Amino acid sequence: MKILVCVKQVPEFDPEAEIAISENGQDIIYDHLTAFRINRVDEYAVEEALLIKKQHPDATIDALTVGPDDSATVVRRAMGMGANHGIHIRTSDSRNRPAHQVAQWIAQVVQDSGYDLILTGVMSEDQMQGQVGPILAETLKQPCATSVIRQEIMPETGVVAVEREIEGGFRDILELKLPAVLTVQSGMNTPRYPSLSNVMRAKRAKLDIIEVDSLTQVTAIAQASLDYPEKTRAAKVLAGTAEEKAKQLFHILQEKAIFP
Amino acid sequence: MKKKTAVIFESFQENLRIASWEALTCAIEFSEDGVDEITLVLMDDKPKTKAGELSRQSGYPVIAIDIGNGGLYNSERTLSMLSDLFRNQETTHICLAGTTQGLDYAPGLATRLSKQCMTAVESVVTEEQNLCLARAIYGGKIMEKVRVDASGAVIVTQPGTFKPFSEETSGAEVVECLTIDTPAESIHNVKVKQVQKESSALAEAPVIISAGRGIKEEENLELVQRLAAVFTKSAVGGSRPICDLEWMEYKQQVGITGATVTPDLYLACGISGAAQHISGMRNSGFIVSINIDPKAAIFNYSDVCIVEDLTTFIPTFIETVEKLKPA
Ligand SMILES: Cc1cc2nc3c(=O)[nH]c(=O)nc-3n(C[C@H](O)[C@H](O)[C@H](O)COP(=O)(O)OP(=O)(O)OC[C@H]3O[C@@H](n4cnc5c(N)ncnc54)[C@H](O)[C@@H]3O)c2cc1C
Ligand SMILES: Nc1ncnc2c1ncn2[C@@H]1O[C@H](COP(=O)(O)O)[C@@H](O)[C@H]1O
Repeated sequence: MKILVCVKQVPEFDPEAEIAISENGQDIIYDHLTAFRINRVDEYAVEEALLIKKQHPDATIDALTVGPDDSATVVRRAMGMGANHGIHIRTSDSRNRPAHQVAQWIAQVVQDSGYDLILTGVMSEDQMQGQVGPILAETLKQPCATSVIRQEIMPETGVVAVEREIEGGFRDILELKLPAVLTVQSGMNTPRYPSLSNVMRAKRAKLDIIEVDSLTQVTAIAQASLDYPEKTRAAKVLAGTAEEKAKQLFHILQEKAIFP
Repeated sequence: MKKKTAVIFESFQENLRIASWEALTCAIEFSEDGVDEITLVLMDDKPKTKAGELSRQSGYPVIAIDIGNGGLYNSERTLSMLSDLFRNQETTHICLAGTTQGLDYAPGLATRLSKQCMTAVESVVTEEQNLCLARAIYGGKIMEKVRVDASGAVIVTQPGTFKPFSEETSGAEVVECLTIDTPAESIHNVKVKQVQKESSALAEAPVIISAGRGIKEEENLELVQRLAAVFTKSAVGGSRPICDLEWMEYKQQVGITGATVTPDLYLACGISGAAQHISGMRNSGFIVSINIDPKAAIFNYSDVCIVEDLTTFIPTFIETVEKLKPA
């Protein structure tokens, strides 16, 4: 069984690290403090692949990312957790790419690789599209289930049984014919930390590097400009020392009759 | 030329989703000079009566699609039904709500129709005389305003952001019923099961103290509980990551995949303000947020913003209340 896990590098949303909009309003600039890390929900996807491998020891796990040079760190992170092999589709600097572009690049690279199962996260924390998984599935003409919170592969019948989270505390229970694409929701498992021996191996491992220029280009149709969000309420920022803010808050809540 | 816009209505357990009425508002706002031709598409297993009602209530023509399949949603069937329908109708824009169902098929539908897909759309804005769709990125810290391709788009609205459509109409009832019979070959529905009953604690509490990943350590939950105890009637809630960590039960989760709450006071401690959380609490009476990051998105939805470290501010506030509260 061959499993592919798609992992994305995203900036750490650290309060000290600035994420700002460039002057032309088109790009996001990260200041020197901004660290990058793996998209959290993608760790759940890697962990789920590792759990499948535990049950089906013949399984191999490839981790793949699309991004600039340094984004390969997230592939190595996945390998540090236990993925067998890494693939890096290398792009120029820009990180903010529309989902259909990323998905179609991935599809071009993996369509003949014979993966039985492809896992992605439900959503990236930076672009928040929730689209790369379903578009990848559609492009590869495979069935797809999103927001998956449980899965069980049944190799005898070639299906994967899944539970996907829907509103109001309900779950949709489905069976998908393999090969299939699942997008993983957080809380599905408890992602492990990379182990020292795996990290050493991952460090030395040679990744498959595919330059994006060698692929058929997919145009990015979306024309976007960036802005800071507007306030929907008063957003009164309390000033002073912590004690003064605490007093002000008390009086505000008293005025609102929340305190007697 | 008039563009054709379709709005897809979703039903769940006998009711139309409110989020679908919100998607209709988005479609109307996005219709240039209000001249686009809007048609509603209702997907249901017994759509006839509901479709008539929908058409009367909205004033728009309705295409009712009998989804069969015991009323169970199946993305394979949905994709083939809808792509056939919209190809035949030459529909430009397709609006739908970003429910778990909408988000499941919308990107695939757009791909099949060679259209752009935009998810988590929060508002319609004008930029240099062009109508654009705005969506939050980077956990709500930045808004992206996207110009839609003239060939059309699949537009998926973030639940809770548009006002549900509620205009007085005198629309005639125009209903067309279609049964599209495409068998599913690669996705089989087993059933829908309930794993979590909605909890009444959050629904009834006039005050909710909510904790996010900013609490950092499980031990700090105690701080949040102590804070809750200074109010006469209160409940403790949390963001999804806190529930994923099993520091709280899932029934305490606030947000799009948790509870929707409207207490008199919602006090958010260490919550960043991602759209999926905001959807569940934005209509609270009064919103106060404590966050160490002055640029946290949650502040845009708050009446009062406190830029402090919650581990030091919460004890300070509890002390203050104890001192100032009339005995
Ligand atoms: C399909 C889907 C459904 C989802 N449903 C939900 C849902 O129902 N509910 C939900 O909540 N989320 C949901 N999410 C997740 C959501 O997108 C966010 O990831 C989540 O809300 C973030 O939680 P958070 O704000 O607690 O954590 P973070 O985003 O990590 O924010 C932590 C915050 O704490 C602040 N902080 C750090 N240290 C301190 C300190 N010492 N003092 C004060 N502040 C501090 C930081 O500045 C930051 O703003 C869903 C996601 C998807 C894709
Ligand atoms: N650049 C990328 N490289 C690899 N995987 C990605 C990339 N962008 C998105 N994904 C995957 O698709 C999921 C959803 O991302 P998005 O559609 O951007 O919300 C992520 O959780 C990843 O698993």
